[in-house]
Amino acid sequence: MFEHDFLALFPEIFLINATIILLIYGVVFSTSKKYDYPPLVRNVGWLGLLSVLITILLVAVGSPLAVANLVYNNLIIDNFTYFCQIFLLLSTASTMVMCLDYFKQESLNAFESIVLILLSTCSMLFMISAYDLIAMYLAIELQSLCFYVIAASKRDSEFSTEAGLKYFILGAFSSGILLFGCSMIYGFTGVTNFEELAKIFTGYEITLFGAQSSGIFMGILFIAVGFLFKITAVPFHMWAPDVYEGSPTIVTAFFSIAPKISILANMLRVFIYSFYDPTWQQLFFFCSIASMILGALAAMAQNKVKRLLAYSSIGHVGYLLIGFSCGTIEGIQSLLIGIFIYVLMTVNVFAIVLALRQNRFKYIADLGALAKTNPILAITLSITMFSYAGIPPLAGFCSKFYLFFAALGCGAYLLALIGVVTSVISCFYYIRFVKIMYFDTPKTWVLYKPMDREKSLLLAITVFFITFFFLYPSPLFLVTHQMALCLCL
Amino acid sequence: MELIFQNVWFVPLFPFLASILLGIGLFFFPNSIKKFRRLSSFISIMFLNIAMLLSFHFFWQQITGSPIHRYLWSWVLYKNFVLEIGYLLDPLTSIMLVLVTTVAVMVMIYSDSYMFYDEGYIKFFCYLSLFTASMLGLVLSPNLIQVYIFWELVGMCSYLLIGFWFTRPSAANACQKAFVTNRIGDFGLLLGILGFYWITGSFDFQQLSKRFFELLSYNQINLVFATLCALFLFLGPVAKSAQFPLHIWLPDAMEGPTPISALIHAATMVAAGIFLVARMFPLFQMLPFVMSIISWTGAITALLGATIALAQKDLKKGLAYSTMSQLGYMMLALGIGSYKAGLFHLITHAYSKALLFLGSGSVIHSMEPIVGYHPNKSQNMIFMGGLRQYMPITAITFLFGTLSLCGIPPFACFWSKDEILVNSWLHFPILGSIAFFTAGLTAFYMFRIYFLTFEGDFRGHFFDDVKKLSSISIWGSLEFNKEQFKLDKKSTLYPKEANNIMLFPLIILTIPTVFIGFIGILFDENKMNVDSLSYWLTLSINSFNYSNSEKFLEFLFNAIPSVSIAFFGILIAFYLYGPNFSFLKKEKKKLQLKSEIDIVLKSFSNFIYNWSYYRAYIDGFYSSFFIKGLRFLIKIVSFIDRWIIDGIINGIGIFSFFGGESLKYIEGGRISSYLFFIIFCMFLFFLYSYII
Repeated sequence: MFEHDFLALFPEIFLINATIILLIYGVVFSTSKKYDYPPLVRNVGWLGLLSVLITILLVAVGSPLAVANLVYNNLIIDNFTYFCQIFLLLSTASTMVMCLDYFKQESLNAFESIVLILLSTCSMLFMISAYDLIAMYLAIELQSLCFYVIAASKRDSEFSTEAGLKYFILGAFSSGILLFGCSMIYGFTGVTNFEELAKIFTGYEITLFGAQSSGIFMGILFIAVGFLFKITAVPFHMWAPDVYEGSPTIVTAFFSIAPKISILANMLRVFIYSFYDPTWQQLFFFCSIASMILGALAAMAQNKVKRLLAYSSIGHVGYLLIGFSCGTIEGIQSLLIGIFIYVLMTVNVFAIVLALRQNRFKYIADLGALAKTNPILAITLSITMFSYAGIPPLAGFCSKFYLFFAALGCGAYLLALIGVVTSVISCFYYIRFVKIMYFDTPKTWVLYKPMDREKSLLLAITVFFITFFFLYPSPLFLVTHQMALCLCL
Repeated sequence: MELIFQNVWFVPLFPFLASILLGIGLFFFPNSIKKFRRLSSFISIMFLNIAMLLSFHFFWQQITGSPIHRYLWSWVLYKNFVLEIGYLLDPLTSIMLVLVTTVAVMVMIYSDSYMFYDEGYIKFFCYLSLFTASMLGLVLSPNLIQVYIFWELVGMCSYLLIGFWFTRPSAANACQKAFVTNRIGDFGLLLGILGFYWITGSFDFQQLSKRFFELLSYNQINLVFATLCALFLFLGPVAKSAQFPLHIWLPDAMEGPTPISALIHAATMVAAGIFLVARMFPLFQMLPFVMSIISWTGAITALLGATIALAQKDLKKGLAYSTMSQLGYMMLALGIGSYKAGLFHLITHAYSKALLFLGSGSVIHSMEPIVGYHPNKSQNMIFMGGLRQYMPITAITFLFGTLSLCGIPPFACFWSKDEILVNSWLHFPILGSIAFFTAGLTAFYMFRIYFLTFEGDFRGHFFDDVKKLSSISIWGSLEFNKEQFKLDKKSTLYPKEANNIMLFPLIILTIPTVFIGFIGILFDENKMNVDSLSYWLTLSINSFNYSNSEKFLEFLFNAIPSVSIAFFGILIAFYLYGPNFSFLKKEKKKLQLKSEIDIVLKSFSNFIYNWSYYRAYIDGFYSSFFIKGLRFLIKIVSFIDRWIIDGIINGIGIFSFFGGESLKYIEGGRISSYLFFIIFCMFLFFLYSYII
């Protein structure tokens, strides 16, 4: 029995081993006098990228059609996890690509960040395939612990340490809430496995007044709040702008890309597969509306790029939650398409943000006259911003279109309406980038260093997908449809 | 044989190719193509000649009794919606093909010389070819959709050509006016097409009328709706053929080069509306109310055009109003059901009017060096007079055209117009009397134009003294003291006859002007002949059974009143404007003695003059009522847009901006407040669920 489990878990096991070996390698060599204390960051970065790529291969080798419950029903592998894991690993790999040059530029000689990224990736893999409340909680905790450390990885920066500390305290709080919810569920039902919970909840009326059900309801509420905190949905978003702004840019990029995938995957597993009930849908409904509105409004007054992107990601979480609160197959499918496109765009934007460095690229106004100094980069950023704003025929438009369509399909007209209105409002600050790049002449011209080849490759790929997604979207449709079916059936 | 029939589309293709060639050349090699001016005009004339020969061939085939040829190719197939394109070759089509191509060839040859010194010579030929091609396409169309496409193309070309001298503000305004006015008609046409599609489910002419007939006989049609659709459809021809409410663009369209006036605004484009009504005739015939609307529109237009034409100073504008009046005749003929007479008049009028316009172009061309290039001067008949001495060929051809238009036998328009008069008289006496009166007016104003232009003394040298001249009434007393203006004979210029290239089309066009009327009457006489025009045109509409059973003598007898009123008109014109013979002067003096009559006459003439000068007050009415009303409406809408709709948007913008600013400060960065907020929100959720 266990041999099959090990075979199925081989990618995760490989990644853990690789991470540990890398850690040992780094520790041994960076402290060795013989080699003159090499910083090793770039080296470890490449090796980490390599191990992630190998993990992708290992995951991909496994058949997508197999469904297996592993380790005493604690983990599951099916279509949904298969594609989600591949996608997560790909996005991690892209972050790794981005960070190759970063540490050297920042003279941040901490190869441990890369190790921690790898470790959190591993925990996220487990999160995606978690099939039990305990496994889920453990995976989330491992991921969060890694994140707290990475956020504070730039130890000499006040902002970074502040961000790390804030993240830690608030994160610990939310983990407590989450754990409390889990324990309540366990206390009132006696099971922690998702499948059995699903069995209990089918045909089960969750109301506050039923004798045994009020506890279950509160448990679900607490779990939901915990998740909403992790995914930075309004009104539990307060930490996000501070943490995103304070932590090093590469960490911000990582935070706004990878955990979104894993947490949404886990949320889908919990709330669609296990606790499917109209009651909590309302909760997500409100959170979705609030996130969209706040994302649109708050970003408008921001001058700092990273803070703006944080609000933009909050807004996008709001759009994604539209699909979530629909609860239909179309909703889930549109959510998955939406997150795919969101990740593409975010990777692109952060690659640009990381590429533009003279001393720093902190304020939006620093982009002035980028169209003259760096025309190709300006076009790339404009395309991405138009896509963020949802201008057809770019990918961002498609994602929003499917989400609103799903909302209309299940009768949530208010969601669609607010989605459209807020995306119009959000056009303002997205297109402001374009305006600044093309029409503003700054007082002091900022000349940026040329970017490295890896990042430009990344940019090229993402821009290609963003621009030409509308031509051939059917493979993504097929995949997401299968994933959605996996959860709903 | 079949092969050639299948290739009818070559006819519009050739001019289209020419225009494409020239267009590409102008677009890509603007400098080098200017060296090949003559060559490019030669190409377009050549291609059009081929088209003309082809259409002669088809015409001959149709005369010798070939069947109606129809070729369809399905263009859009969607479920049960089928859109076909193709062509329809029947007698009406073939005769229109011949008409359009011959006039166009003549106009092209003419414009080679007329436009020779113009900068846009090649562009002109390009537009001209495109226009001819689209007109030919329109004529060949088998269904309403295709008609609509070519209809728009024709409209666009007319816009381009009217505004050909777009640097002149009046031309720019005129082309816009023409375009906008035509848009109104086109919109109605589109509505009508769609309405009929809704009723019958077909765009095809033949199917349409057949289905409509079936539906009508089974009483499955809302007659009011059908009438409404037909009226909408009729709005298209009303605009294009310059019928009464939408005629205002035609006189202004004279701002275009004169060959264009000849081609578009006399012979072909304005005929498109008549053509469409003729095509849809079987359908209109089933709706008596629509028929009476058509006939009354025609009658009003005829009368209006004739009365406005009475006192025009501008040579071309006078001809333009005459065109409008003649188009009214055609519409009238169609409306009272004499299909053949209407089309016959269309053909005869086209040649005569083309001749007249080309003649006027020749006059203008020769006047321009003397009086200046502004149309107010070079086209002003006040400055002309006595041109017959200087340009005899133009004068004689112009006289032929004038005689034809007045309805003097044996010229072309006599036959057709007489038929219309007789038929309208038979149909409804009021219409008949209007037509009859208009015929008199036609003779009067046509000869007024002729006399003012070609007879008397040349007045072109007084153009400097515009102030003095303007005091001279255009009514009657044109004689003035020659001694008053002492002329230095040696230094003055006199108009010259146009060159041979320009004269050639004039002379050629004289032939149909004189003789084409005979085809109608000769074929009428011997009914045994299968290819009589009446039989032949009625063939294309089977449901129509009008037959002209008059004998020739009876015809002549009928013609006496119409001819006599024409002569009466000519006499008045001669009396007022003719060369001053002594006995007439005496008569005039006698007349002037009778002061009471004189006053009455003067007030009447002033009234007519003002009526004509202000274009029957219709333009003023439109501008004061529609345009100002629309402006007022626009102001209201723009106010709503600016203050209410924009206000909402701006309000949202300001609100969201302040929202953003305030949200920026809410995020204070204190962890304890964050935690409090989280707990608070959780509590709210809890409370909310509790309430539900």
